[in-house]
Amino acid sequence: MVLEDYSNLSMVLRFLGGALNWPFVPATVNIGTDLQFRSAFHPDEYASPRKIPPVIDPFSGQEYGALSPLRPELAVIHVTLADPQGNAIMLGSEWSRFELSRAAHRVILIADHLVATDCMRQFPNLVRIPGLLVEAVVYWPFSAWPQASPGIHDVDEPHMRLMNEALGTPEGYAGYRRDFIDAYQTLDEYLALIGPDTIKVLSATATGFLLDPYRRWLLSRADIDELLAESEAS
Amino acid sequence: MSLNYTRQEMMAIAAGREIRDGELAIFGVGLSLLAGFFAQAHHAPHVRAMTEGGIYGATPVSGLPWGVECNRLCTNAVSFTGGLDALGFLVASGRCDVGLIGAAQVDRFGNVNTTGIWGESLDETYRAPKTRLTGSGGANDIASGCQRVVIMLAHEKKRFAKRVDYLTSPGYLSGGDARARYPFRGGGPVAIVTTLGILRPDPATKEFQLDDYFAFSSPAEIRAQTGWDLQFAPTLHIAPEPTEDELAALRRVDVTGALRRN
Repeated sequence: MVLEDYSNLSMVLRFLGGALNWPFVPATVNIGTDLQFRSAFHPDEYASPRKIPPVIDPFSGQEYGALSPLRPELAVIHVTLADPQGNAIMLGSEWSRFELSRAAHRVILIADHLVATDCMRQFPNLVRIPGLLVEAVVYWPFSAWPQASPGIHDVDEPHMRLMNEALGTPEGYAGYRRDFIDAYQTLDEYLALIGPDTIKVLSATATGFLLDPYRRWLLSRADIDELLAESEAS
Repeated sequence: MSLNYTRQEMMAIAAGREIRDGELAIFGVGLSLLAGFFAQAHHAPHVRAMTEGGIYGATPVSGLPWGVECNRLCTNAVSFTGGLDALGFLVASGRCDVGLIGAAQVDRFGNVNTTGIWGESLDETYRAPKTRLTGSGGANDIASGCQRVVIMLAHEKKRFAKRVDYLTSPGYLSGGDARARYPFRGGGPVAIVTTLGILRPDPATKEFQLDDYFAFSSPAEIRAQTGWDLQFAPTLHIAPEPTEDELAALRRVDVTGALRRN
């Protein structure tokens, strides 16, 4: 695996280029720096002409950088609310999820809550990822843990510190993986791992009011289990 | 010194003083968020603040946010958009007046490294660093696009290198008119605000010189903590100490006391 560095904007621009099926995206960022000149794919080239190659603006003659477009095979995107058809509403900043959902060949959503489709019909302007792009919806509350999900739960600060500490060494990583990644199979096991007390504390978020307009459409666990059974039967 | 305050608080207040009322401003992750929101709480109530993930009109509630999209910035926002809007339409376009960013390492032309520490300048061959840092995040985009950029970091010799190990975010590159040869929409860093003083670029060479020292520091101490032959600006002077109002405003923003540790 090779790790290549870009800035936050250049990643969005690369998704945008992929979504539009453009050959490249002209960049006014990352140029002139090691983000342009150092390539992990070509470590012996400096300045690498292949990562963000120079490109001439045909109108002004000025040199810019050419960002390569990205078209991921698969995007797994966390959303706050999804209906069973994959229509989704995100609370909080979107970062690059809108562009990513258009750039990827296949999109799978992970949702904190499932809602009835009437919710989407009430707020269609807010449905930034429509179901017609989505292959599957995974119901997995607290999937952003230990980070926050605006409107749903706060960041788990003690666990963030524990995780950051652990990930600093290979042994720490192995232990973290054993205890917090490989340690569960089912949603209930996952929620038990976080712990009911922690879930209660984190759920008492000051951002909870953001969810208020949508609460009447939230599906219960029983509704969801029924949907899952139907989905498996078909 | 009449008031008790820490070096970090002096740094945040000095950085906040660079922000003017009414400006469109973007604050990077970490202490720079506190400096920016201090300015809003004190002398720039109409600053139009945003974060790089696209949170507009918010102030941090109950302490230093973990990131720029943390819930502490989500309880009173008026708009949530995304990175293309914030870093693209409003920053890379050149519309944003001022950006505040942190740094792990900075050099004499105001170039910033937040990618990694190699302990030496990289030669032709790129290899894994001794210490991997957080990467650019949106800092490269802010440094490229904002009209003015203010860099904040602790003043230690290892952080003030003649040349950064890795150039993540552009200052004046190799100095002189080097930056002007690129189509960046922003003008570059106007100040490096540290725990000991304020450095500003020479108008012609773009090399950063000492312009302000603090009541508790000295030009000689700052020169000793800088990895290049630091020059003193003709305007060199002592920065005003924090006023009671400034300190009170900063501490209203820094609820958890992130800056109180010396």
